[in-house]
Amino acid sequence: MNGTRRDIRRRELGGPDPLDQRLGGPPAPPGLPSPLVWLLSLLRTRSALGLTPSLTPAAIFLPLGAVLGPRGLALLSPTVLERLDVAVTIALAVLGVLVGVGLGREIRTALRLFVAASLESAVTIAAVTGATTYFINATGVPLAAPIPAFALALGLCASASSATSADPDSEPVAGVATRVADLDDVLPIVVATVAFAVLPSTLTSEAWLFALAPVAIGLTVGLIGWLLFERAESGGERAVYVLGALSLAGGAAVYLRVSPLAVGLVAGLFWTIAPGRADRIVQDDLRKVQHPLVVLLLVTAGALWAPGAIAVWLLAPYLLFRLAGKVAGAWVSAGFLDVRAADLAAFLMPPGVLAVAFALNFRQMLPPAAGETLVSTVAVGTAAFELFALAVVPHWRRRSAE
Amino acid sequence: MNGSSERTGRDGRLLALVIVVSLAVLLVLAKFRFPLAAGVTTAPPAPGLLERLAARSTYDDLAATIANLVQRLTPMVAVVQFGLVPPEEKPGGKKNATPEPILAAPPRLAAAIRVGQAGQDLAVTYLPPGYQVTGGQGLSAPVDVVASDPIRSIAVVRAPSVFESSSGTTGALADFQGFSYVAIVEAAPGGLSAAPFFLGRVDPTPDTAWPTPIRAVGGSPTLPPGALVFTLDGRFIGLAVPTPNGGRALVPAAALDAAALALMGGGKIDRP
Repeated sequence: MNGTRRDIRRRELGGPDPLDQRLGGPPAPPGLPSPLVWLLSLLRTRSALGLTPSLTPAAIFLPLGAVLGPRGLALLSPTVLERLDVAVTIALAVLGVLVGVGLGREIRTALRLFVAASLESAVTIAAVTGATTYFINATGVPLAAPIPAFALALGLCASASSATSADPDSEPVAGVATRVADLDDVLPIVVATVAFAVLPSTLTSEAWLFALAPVAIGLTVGLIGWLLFERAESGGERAVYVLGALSLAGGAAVYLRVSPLAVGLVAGLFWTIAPGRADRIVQDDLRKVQHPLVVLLLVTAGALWAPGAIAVWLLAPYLLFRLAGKVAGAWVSAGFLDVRAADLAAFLMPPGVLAVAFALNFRQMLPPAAGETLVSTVAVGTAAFELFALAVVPHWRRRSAE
Repeated sequence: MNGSSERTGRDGRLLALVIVVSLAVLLVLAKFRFPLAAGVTTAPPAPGLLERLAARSTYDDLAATIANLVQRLTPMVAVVQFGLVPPEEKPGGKKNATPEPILAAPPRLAAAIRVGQAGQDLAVTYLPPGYQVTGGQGLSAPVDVVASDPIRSIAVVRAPSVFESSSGTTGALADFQGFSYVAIVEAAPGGLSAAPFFLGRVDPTPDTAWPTPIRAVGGSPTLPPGALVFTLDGRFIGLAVPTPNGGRALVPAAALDAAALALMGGGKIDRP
């Protein structure tokens, strides 16, 4: 360390999260002593080293959303949540872009890593989908949606990882885990786009439209952005182009009722693969809105939380088999990556904001009651896994390292 | 190599343990049937513990709607003033008859819905027994009483407005079904006032006094006589009048228009 405090970065959505820096970054300058900042920084620093639990965005903002939502203080009324739906869709498109940019960069140099991440993701999806299907059929849980579609949606939500408990620079396995966490979100987006077009009774749109429209919109938005971004004459003008392109992506996805994540993924991939600096421009400008978007998604998901017997019932297969799926997936993919399966599984345990984003996306595709159940289950499950990762995983890793 | 294979073996055991425990718990839980009564709930969600402490944006929206409605209705509604009829002037009435107590106390103001064409400046208001129209408020000229009908308790007045007046009965809601929030518009010393009001059951009722069926309001007679009832988007529903049995009824726009026309012509009101 050479006496200097390291910049403890926590990965969320493919980069350092400003929220984390705000909560647990380097302390204030010596001239401005603040016991609270110092305490939070200490907590975060020790947490990043796996020594102590600390706060994460999901653990903070999901409960906050539940308190502010219709079943709490009702500051976020159902009308407000309905009006927020467009903003949430644009936020999902932004997340898709970040995933697409991450994929575009890694796919050239780290195909092996991408395959390993997809394998890990596929194992988790299969585990949770299979267990949920069996559990629903065995117990007779009344769902207002086709069981395969709902079980698959839950499995796709479970596959997301954020590796938020890892400082990517702290040790080699942490760096690998954060890259796996960045790349394991691609498969769920692709599977969702294809599966929801094929599965019956989940969509009002035509199947071909649902499968092809995200690609067409993503390519169109990508082309527009590619033509505009580098020709901007000022930073402000460039930011307007970026936000306009993303609003177009989200708005078109809302209008056609297709996945904004898939639209953003295609656009982000296009910007990365196309010649020029479009991907870096987008990433720089999105860094300014990344924090509000994370908060928006988490608070919205928390506000949509509807306590009900079905949501609680479905927590059992979600929690159990996400854990089993991540461990098994890490075991399968560890062979490709030259890391220990237990370490990789430990780092992949926090679902992060993308699990919530997937749930909000699938909520738009499923019938309303089923969508509400899905969001409720995933919101509680995400908070539980974040806390589990903070409280249990450090001990798990320490014991396995001995 | 030994250490590596040992750790791999430990990872394998950990994996097997997690999967076995998960499967075992799932199989045990799957033995239970989902309690259907808990899942099939159609009742609205219970209010939150802290809900009463929260600001309700829906009420804010309703308040804004009502405030906006008053602005929009100002050209369609006139404010007129009542005074007691001197005993010797009461048409066919007893000299010592007491006025209706509900309007006996000041302020004796009422809202009058404008009818007819824009240039006519005509308005119809509820006229309680024992009272007469004595003036207006916020008008460009004194009120001129065109006709009054003590049987139906209405008066037709000419009330030139300082605004460009328009008929309030145009576009009125003819088939109001009840069970809805409405705005009741009344007169106040400073101008028009309005308040949200929930109207429950409303049944069409034939009445020999009116050319079309009026709408009897169910429940307690809390609707003030003489109030003008509008939908929240500003469509006229009716004029609130008392019924012989102590209840309230809404006289719809068609009946008011026909009655005003007949009174101005000095003829009888045609009944269907």
